[in-house]
Amino acid sequence: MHLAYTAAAMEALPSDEDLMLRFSDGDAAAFDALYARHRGGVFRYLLRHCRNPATAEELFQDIWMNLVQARGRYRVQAKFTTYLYTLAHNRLMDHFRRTKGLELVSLDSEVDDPPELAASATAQPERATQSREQARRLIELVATLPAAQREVFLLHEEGGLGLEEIAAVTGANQEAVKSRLRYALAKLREGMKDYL
Amino acid sequence: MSADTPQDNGLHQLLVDTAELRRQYRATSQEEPPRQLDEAIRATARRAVRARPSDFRMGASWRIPASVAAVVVVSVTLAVMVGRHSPQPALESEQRAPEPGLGVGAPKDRAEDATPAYRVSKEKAGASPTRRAAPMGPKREEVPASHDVAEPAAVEEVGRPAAAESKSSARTGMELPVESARVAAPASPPAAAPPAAAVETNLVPVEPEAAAAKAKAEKAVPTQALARKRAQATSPETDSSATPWEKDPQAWLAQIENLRAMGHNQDAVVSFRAFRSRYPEYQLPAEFVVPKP
Repeated sequence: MHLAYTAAAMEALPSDEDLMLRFSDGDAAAFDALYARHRGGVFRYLLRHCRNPATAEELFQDIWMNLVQARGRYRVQAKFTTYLYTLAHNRLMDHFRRTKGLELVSLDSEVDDPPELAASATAQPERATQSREQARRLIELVATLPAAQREVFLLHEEGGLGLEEIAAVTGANQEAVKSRLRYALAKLREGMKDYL
Repeated sequence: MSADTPQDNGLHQLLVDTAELRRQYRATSQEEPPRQLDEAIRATARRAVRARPSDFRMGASWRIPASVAAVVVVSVTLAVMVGRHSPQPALESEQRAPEPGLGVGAPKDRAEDATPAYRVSKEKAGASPTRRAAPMGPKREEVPASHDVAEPAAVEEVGRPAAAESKSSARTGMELPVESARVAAPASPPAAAPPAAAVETNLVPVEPEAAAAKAKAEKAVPTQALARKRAQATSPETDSSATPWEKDPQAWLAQIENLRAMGHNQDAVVSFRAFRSRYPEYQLPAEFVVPKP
């Protein structure tokens, strides 16, 4: 659920941290708002990693359940997104550890059939086909990135985290994070040069 | 994102160069969790918020039964232990029954009617398990010989009555073996003679060899008395603290069977070990099931 907030509206809106604190105090509506903001990003972060919608849904539910259960212990020590994606990262690592990195990719999953890139309603059919092909190619390229580079790229794009926050989530140092992001972007640009 | 170093500048430039690519990615990446999953998670959060006040009650719900169970276990354990030791006063009263002048009242009456003679008798018999176990024995043997000799000598020298000696024993503890010697062999002249001689050794200079021999003989007296005392304590027939079934091997085995049947297997194991230490050679009946921990 991507909501288009104006700058003024964003300022009026409570921060993630405020919402989480309100939820800790028993405000269920605060959780709804928080969930609406981050549900998509977290889900796609998981989906790009494990490439299996069913597994992504299971992990997604676990992460939010963990957040609900840990609400009493929440303290504002960093950005909420850092906290949330740390939960997601840890749960994902736990999953990979249990499955020893062997994750079956669903052949008929929606990952293989991504939505086409935004095209105007009046666009030509050829353009729509090219846009769909371009979207598929981009998702495939992200999937083929090395896990560490994919992790940094997804935290940057889906979570909206900065380098320092990514370093905090992954436990890597900031220079390594920069390097991984640079490599990831370079590979994506190289892979998409025919479309750009 | 700061761009302080050349590396940062390079990354910054790359981010600018790939802005269109990243926009395309974000436009492509539109997957969302299913609505049912959304509802389930939101419902869970609402339930958790509503259930928050009852969390404590839920936490307490297992604490109360656990507390009750703990109390029951402790009570049963105490009851078993008390039950095991409760026949002791009755046994003492049985032993005391033939003595003249004490009557045939209940044990409680006798306790209230505790004459000095009764107290002395009780102390002499070593009724207290802690005293009967003679924990001072080995320590006593470690004490230098002069200690062993001098104390009984002093007692004999002033010629205190037996009751006074018992009180003194209870007070110091160090005199317990000597007292035990008297209890075990009340009419043993050698036990009394060497201490008297020991007093002399403390007061009058004597030949070194003769003094050493005397000291050796005197030291032997409490040691022998201690051995007799130990033998007496481990003999079920003479042990006043033994429960009725402990005097009868068959009754004891029946008691162990009862404990096992009641589910007190650990108690049965402990009791059986005690049985074996007391009756190491006793042939167990074929039908008897040895309790195992």
